[in-house]
Amino acid sequence: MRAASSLFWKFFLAMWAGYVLLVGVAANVIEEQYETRYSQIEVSERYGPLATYIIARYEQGVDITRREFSQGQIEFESEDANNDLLVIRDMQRERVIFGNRSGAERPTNVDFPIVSETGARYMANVGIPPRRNPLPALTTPTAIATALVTTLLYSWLFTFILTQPISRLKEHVQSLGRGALDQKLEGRLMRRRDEIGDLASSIDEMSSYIQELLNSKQRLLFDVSHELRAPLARLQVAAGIARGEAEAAGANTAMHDRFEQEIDVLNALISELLLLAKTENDVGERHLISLVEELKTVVDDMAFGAPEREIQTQFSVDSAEIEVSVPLFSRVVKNLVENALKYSDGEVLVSLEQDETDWIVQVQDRGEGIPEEQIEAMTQPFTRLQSESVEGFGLGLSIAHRAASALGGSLKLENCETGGLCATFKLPKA
Amino acid sequence: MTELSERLLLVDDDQSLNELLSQYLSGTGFDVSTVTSGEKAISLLQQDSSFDLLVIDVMMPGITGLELLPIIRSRWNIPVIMLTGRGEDIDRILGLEMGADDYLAKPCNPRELLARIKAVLRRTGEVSTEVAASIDLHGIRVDSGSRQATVGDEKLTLTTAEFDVLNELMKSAGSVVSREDLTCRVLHRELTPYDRSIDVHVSRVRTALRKHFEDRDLIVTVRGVGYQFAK
Repeated sequence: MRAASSLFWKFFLAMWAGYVLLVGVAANVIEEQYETRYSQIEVSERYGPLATYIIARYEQGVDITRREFSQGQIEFESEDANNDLLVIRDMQRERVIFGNRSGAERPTNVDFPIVSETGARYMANVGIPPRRNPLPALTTPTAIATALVTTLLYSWLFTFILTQPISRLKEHVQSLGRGALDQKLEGRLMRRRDEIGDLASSIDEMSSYIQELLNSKQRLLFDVSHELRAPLARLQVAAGIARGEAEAAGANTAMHDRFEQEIDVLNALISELLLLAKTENDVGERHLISLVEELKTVVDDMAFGAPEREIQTQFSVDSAEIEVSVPLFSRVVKNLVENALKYSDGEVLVSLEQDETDWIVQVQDRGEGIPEEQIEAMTQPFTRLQSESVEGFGLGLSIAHRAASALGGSLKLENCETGGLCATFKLPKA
Repeated sequence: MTELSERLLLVDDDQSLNELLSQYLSGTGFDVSTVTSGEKAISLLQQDSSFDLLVIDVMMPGITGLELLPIIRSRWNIPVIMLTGRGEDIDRILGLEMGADDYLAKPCNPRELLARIKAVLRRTGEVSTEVAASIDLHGIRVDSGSRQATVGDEKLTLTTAEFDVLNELMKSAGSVVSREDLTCRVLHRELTPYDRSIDVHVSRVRTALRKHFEDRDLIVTVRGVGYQFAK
């Protein structure tokens, strides 16, 4: 469900409130019209000319009857006035000069005085038949509900049409933020010719640009590391020759040891850097594998490297088939286990579980863990704990993190409740 | 002097490295030739194939080391050591799976390369002196005289190292052979940390056997120790 503060709700509520207000105003106007229909001024304006005409004829000695009106013998025409409803009384002679007294018994009577040109006073009475007040019908619960539902549906539809492409854009930008830069926007948004279409193509351009930047950064890292290896290989052989000559001459070779040692460090660093550069963009081919089997293989492999250590496994899943890039997957697990072996004593536990959406591989050690404030930074390249006395470049977890993301999964580090570091590697099932 | 010393051919596109390596290895008594491409290596071998060992770099322009290896394997019977890019596991595995006798990550310590060269030469030199014997187990017959392994009538296609792995494991069937011992006996060198070549050889043998024994793994991994061939 959308957050209450979302654009959708703001638009929707504003629009709905607008419509409800509009309906309210309209109802008010109708009410007003209904009221004015009965006001003396309005009635005298409408019936005045007709009454004046009849009075003028009366003073000339001509009595006009309704029949004459109905037979069309009278030439006076008034669209506003209906002579059937009109009764005129001569106030001085106390007699009705037009119309029928019964007209006075109509439920709504409006009287207005008329003074003729001769100065005689008359009283006109218009009996208005009961008209249906339109409002009572509009204020029934059904009518109100209908109005509310109609405006709600209309507002919802309109808001949806307006905000839906924005939500799509938002989702797209979010996935860009998570690193899926190669993802392109769907054609429907790009083909729009309005501001949203412009925004969509701008976002697309931006993501291509960022992708290019990142690619060139990766490429540079890879190229530099790669190019460094050739002179390093020569340096290593040259050092070997120098050592041979020194040995032949019976000279001290302590410095040659040092040369070789530092060359080895450089070598290892370059290998790690190359791996880091490759991990992110080189997902490689995907194969269907059994997670359990693959984990066993990796753990066996690691156990060979550290025969004095105990690596426990605990698989609560029997069959977990998944299509992944095998080298990347085993790289994540390998680096996590390697990290655990390197920075802790005691046993290391590798477990496999599942929840509804993910396979969860956990690597736990019995070490001291990582101070909470540094835990976030551990996946950044060249981050090492200050207290560390063990050799390393601080690239292992960083490579694991990138490999996990490249697989579409995630890697989270936290200190276990039992002490030690607990690395959780989640891989989506589909 | 030259007739007695063993002849090496280095195939690497880095000419300066070739020169340095050649100087280093010559100093230890080898007769070293160098070429800078796979194409040149093939044409040289066509004229003169009397080399005792080839050292081939995987990363070369033109014919890469991985493409060169099967060509050489199909025409000449000369042991090959592959120099692979460091940290590029895929190349490493492929190199071994295509039947290189050993591999070494480059840049490498020249002493390490020398040790590997000597180990491979010792291994291939031993072949003729080994006492002919054969072992039969689970229908697999390993003949160390003819260096042939057969299942029933069918011949198993194995490289020298793979044959030795199978032979050594079957000799000690029922007991665990440690990775150190296996590396020593098969590759004639010490096992170093993070060295997985013996495991790759074992897994190649496993794959070859699996074609005939689908339902069971005759070679069992004993975690942290080594491998065991089922009795």
